[in-house]
Amino acid sequence: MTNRRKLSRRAFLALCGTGAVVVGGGMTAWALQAEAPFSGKALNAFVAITAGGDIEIICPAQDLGQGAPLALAMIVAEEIGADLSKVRILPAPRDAARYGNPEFSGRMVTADSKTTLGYWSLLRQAGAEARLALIETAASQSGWLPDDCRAQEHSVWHMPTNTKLGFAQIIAAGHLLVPGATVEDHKPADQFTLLGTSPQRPDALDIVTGRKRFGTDQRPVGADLAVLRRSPHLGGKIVSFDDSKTRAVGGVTGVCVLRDQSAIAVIGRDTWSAIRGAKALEVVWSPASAFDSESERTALEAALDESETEAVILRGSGQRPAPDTASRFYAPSLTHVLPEPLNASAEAQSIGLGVAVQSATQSLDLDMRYAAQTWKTAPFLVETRGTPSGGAYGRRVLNDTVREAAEIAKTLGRPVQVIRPQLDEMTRGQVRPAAVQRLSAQLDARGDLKNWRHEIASDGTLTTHLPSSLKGSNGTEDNTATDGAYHPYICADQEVRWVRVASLPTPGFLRGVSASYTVWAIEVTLERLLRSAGQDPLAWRLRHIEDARLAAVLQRVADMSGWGDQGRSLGLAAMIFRGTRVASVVEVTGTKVHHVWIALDAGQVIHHDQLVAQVEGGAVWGLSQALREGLKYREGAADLASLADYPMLGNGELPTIEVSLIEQAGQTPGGAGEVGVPTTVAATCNAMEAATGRRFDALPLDLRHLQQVGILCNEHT
Amino acid sequence: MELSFTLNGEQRKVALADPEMPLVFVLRDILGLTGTKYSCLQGMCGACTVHVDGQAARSCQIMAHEVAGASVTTIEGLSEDGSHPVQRAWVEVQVAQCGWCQPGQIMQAASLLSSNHHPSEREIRDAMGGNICRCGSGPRILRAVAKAANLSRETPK
Repeated sequence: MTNRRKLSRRAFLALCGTGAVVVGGGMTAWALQAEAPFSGKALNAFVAITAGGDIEIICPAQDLGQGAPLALAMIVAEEIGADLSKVRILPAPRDAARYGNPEFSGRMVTADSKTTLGYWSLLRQAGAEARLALIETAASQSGWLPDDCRAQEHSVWHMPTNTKLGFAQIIAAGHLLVPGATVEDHKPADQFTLLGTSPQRPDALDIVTGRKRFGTDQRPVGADLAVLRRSPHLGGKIVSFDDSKTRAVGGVTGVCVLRDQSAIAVIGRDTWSAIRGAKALEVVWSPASAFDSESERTALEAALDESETEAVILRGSGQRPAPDTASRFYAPSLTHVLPEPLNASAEAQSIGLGVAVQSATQSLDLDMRYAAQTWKTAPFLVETRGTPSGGAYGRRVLNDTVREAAEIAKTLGRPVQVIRPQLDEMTRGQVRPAAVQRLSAQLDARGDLKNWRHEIASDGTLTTHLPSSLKGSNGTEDNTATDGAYHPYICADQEVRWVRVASLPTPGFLRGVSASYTVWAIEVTLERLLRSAGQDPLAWRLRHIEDARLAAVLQRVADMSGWGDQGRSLGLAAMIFRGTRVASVVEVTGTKVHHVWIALDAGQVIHHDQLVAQVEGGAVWGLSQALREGLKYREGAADLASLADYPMLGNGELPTIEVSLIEQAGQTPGGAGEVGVPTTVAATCNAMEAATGRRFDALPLDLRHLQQVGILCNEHT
Repeated sequence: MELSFTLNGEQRKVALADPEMPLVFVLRDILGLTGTKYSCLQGMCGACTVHVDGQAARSCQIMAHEVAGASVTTIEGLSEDGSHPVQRAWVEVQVAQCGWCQPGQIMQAASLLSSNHHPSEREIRDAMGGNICRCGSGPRILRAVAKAANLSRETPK
């Protein structure tokens, strides 16, 4: 409640706070940046109305392709009663006080499946305020009672007389009355007409005609393009280099060594000259380490075996570790394979005291921090602009090309755009860190869970980069390493803990982060236990879950898939993640996945089809993790010569994927972007174990032996 | 060199310092047609797919001098208004998430349908198998290609 009041006050800053005055005066760089990009009259920080009656809505999230701009605008438009065709969606400026996500401690970060979840209340409030302003003004103009009025179809309707005033007419009459709104003024869910529908995205036509412009497509005028030559192995530094061949490449306009000696930037008039120039550099690098994936795995396992290793306790006391007989689960490092290259441009501002950066990013706040640190300037002297991103999946949160762009622009004294080619990022960039888990569980005579011991060892992304974001009672829990570990099953005797093991590859965020392996270990352990005890995995779960919404989701996915049919190889998995209840069933024939069913309850559905698309995409990602993906290191370097060395599930191999939503009108929306991943990984493994009678202790599932010896038919048409 | 070729139906002449510049960068950096995207730069992802003399081709693997005299069609030339059956199907099925790979996917699909008006599901899967969509819009891509085939047959030529 207090939170909502605070949000309401924040939403009003543009109207009655001092911010508006300062913005009008244009006195400082800070004020210029904080200005909302409205062309109409602001009703609050998120909503304005133009002279023509169109509604302008600020989107505080970045456009990563997940559909946030439309979904968030739909929440506001629903509250206002606005016609979506008369709504313009505008990107928010960097102003965390007004546009930060409450779920990210008020920072502007678009990640972690928290966008709709985090902005839901705030945007309803903003919309309700706008609606009441329009109603109050229309009522005053027409001599109606506000209580007799409703806003719908872009008009205020006087219900007793069935007459209306269009939003354009209301604004044309002049001064708007702004009565404010409380939580009680939010529209009741049974009056929603827009939420839960599937309107076309505003950028759909631009995408299919090639007009949508991403960061890489928007090189600032006058900026040359930089490509970095970096060490072929992790952590390599420049010992010596010769750039004479590079300087002879046509179009190359500069060469610049990064201060930390980790890379040499080659600047060119176009992408090709920079790429060619970078390739032509002759560099001697410091020697590679002996690091490899096997030694990393050994270190992770050792951390679980050493009782003195300090652990973060998630459940229980941490005093009773898993026995040596516990099942072990290995998940490899993963890379994002970003479609659009990482990119950022930088240009001096304010006579060189400040810098303007533009990037395909997930966080204007973190871009600002990187740029300010690199430029050695104050945050208010950093201007940040986000462009649409060609895929993000967590990689553009710690958007380190901003650092490179700022450093190169400062060194050269001219604007530059940095592009990091995909293979370069895959070879040396951030990874979802590898993890080893140990899990044991037992059933008692009644078939209830008697005990549960789950231990996880991995590097921690927040621990490494953003330690102030750690959670938990001791401030040591890294949710990017522990997500998914909180299973929904009743068990009195539980120990769940995480051990951080620092590793050489740079840890990063990646769609599904830890949940895609913690849920895998949990659901596979459970299903093995139940099958060997002769228990039906569905019936048991339904009996041992307290959450009625999750139980309903399980029942739905069972009905969809025909769970219980004899002679089929089905695997099941369920979880609660960011408030969303989700369950997957996967069917395997031979060693081929040919059908995936997913049911979910994500609370109030905002954009039905985009939610389904997010879950489908998550399922594809989960299948690819289960069956293909893994980044291997050898002799201190990623074992990658080309994209072909990182197998992924392709369009041609996709099984049928069916998604069903259980809608909960008015409930806070849950996460969407990642929820399709974890249960799909787990259900795929469970189905594969059911089909083959084997146990898989590593991702991706190793099916080569089964296929080679021809035990199983792999043909499916 | 001066490169002379047909681009989206128009005769173009471009002065190039390096005749080996990949076509994708000629299009994007020299001619300003940023509709053609790129990801892997190794011909393995399909993001940069265009048509060269009517055939789908990876523009990151074609050097500028190789298209001298050829006819190149990019996403901008498929139709400006999105009226091509593949573009219409893509919008109707709400395929795109981030959209980065979609121009390449669409050019790949258009190439399939120009030579095969009745592709089977297997043929669609085979034709689209080399185009990566990391957002996971693959299930919709397969549906949209099938829909586009229907739309093409309904659309009078």
